[in-house]
Amino acid sequence: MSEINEKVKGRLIEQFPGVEVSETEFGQVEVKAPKEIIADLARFVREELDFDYLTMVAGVDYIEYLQLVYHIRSLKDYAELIIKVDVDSENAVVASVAPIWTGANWHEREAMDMFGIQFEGHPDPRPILLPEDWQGGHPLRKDFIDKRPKRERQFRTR
Amino acid sequence: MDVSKKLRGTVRIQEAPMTDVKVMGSQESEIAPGVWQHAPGVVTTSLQTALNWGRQNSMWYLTFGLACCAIEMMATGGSRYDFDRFGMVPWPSPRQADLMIVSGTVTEKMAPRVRTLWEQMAEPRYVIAMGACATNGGPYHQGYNVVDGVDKVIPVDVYVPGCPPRPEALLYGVVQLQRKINVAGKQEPEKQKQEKVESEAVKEDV
Amino acid sequence: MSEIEARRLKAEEVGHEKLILNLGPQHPSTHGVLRVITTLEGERITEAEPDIGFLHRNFEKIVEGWTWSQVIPLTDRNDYLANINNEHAYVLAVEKLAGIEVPERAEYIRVIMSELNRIASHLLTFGTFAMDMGAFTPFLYGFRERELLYDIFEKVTGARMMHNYVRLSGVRNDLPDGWDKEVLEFLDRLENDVIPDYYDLLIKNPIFEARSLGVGVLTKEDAIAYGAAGPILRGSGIDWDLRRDMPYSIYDRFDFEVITREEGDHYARFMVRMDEMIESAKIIRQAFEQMPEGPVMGKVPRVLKPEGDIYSAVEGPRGEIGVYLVGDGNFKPYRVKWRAPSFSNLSILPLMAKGQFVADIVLTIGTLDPIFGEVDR
Repeated sequence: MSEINEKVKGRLIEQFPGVEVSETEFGQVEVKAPKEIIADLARFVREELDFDYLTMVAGVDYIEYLQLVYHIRSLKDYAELIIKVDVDSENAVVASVAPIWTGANWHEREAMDMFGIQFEGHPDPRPILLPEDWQGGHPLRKDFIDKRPKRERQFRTR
Repeated sequence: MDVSKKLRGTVRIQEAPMTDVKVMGSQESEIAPGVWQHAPGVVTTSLQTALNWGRQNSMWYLTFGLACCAIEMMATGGSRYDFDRFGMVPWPSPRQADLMIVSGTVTEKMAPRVRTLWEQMAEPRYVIAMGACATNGGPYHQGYNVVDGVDKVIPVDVYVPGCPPRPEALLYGVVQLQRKINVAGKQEPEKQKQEKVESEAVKEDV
Repeated sequence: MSEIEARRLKAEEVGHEKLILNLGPQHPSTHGVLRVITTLEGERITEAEPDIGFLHRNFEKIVEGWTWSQVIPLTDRNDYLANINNEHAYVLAVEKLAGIEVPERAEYIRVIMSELNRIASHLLTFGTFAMDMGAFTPFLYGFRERELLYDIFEKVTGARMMHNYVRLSGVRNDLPDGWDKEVLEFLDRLENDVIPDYYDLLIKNPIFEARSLGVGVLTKEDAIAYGAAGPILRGSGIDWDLRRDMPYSIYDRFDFEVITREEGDHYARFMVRMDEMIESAKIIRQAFEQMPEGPVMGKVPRVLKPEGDIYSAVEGPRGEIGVYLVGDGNFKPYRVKWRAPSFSNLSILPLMAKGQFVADIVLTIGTLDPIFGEVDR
């Protein structure tokens, strides 16, 4: 298991000198990459290192910035890879990985709904989970406020 | 007279003294003695009672599963609990359904659709709010996208608590609804009427 | 522009050769609140577009305000047919993040309960898939066995569906006396009576074969590219099961087969589920033999404030249930991301439905087996 991780780490550092590569305590390779190279990185990881199975794309709001977390498996080598990309909160635009892993399509649409991140080159950028006429903002951001009127608390009286 | 005890409401069986034919008649429409002798097998009752009796014993429910409670609703329709005993048949179209069991969380996106489905159902129509989510939002009531209970969208006849309610609880809810249907359109007892008037008077004062 | 006007324009654009047909969100065979907008050319589907989000209950937002252990009952309700598996996924992630030890016996109980839940889930899928095909009776047979399983669960957890049984560092209570005998009886019944029954009743039926063999084929490449999980991945010939390939909990101690089928059609996916029930039974038997005595709850730190982030996954009945947690050293999780297998599986629907008959899209949804509690969360 760790041999593969070493190999993956070596290849990544060789190819992308700027990125931070580390290994988590749970045996996953973790890459922190600037958002400009995400498309290249994804293509390299998919084609050269055989990480072919994208399980999820998660957004996290760290208030100063947003972070996108991609978790990818290699079904051949039994390895796991986590790519973390920091995105600016105000101007959240990042290249889409849906052309590389088709399954990223819906996951990115979800991140678009929840965090307001725009994905360049996404094949179908429409809201997915929220109602069609949703005006309330991006719910999973930390500064989201539920604008609906507060419900009165119901007390049981005897 | 055993049969008459089993029948509910005001329908009862009168025994014919001269022939073996049993004739039913209700207290409201007591026909003149002697008539039934010439027309054996005639059943008389008030129209409202007959309608209620029919309605309460053949409630077709809409197959409309929203969330987790739908699985318990299916279990109630399944082999052990057997909804069919109450004359309840799952029906996929709202046009012929009498009862809508709202089994799950209603969200802002789903609420207009629930309303449309309810409007498509023919009168008289009944609604059971099954589970905590349909009653008041349940564990999800903090959600930004969750409607606090289906009664914000459509009128509800019976609320069944639980998360999800057991099939027994849903069956009990159905029996309660049958009781409600059974008294519909009949004269209200004097005492209740009085209370109603009083409560309305209180409301006006406020 | 009014909605009717918009529809008229869309219809003009599509032309007279094509028909737009709306399925759902209230439809008896969409397994919940799925809406599919299909474009038909004659009987063939040229385009199918799933519309989801009708059950978006804001799980991920709500739990940001709750403490770490308060989240467990809500995870039950994500995939409401695989409750224990969901709890297990979440609890495992928190335990890894906070470094909590779990007693041996509790691990075995978790495995037994998870596998029982897998059987229960596949039984329901058997019933609803037959119902999608137009046969109502198998649904009743599926529920007959599910009721027995409900009884078994109820004796341990006190609830039929929403158990809230798996806790941080163990399980809530020990198994009652004589419970293992009941489970083994049930497994004997499942293997010797029930599944042969199902074969006679449904699977050997020529109509069943005609409607499922060679229909809705999903290739290996597509299955991987879309991130398909569980029986859908294995039904397309990919030998991948987290329980064997990246073992979590104590799954490396059991001897079982990973069922795969090469065809990738409805029949293959259906049969993978049927055979998985027998494999689950094998695991449960082994677990009962190996199970040691001892406590079922370990030590939980009184102040639970884990820090860092983790992705951890388990193999649920529908595939890989993944949890991505971020803790910022507080009582509450900073972010909980639920990787739902049904979400990825359902995204294949437009691809699979293309070129199918209208009648078959219902079966395609049936074999994908989405549960909308976890698709929409």
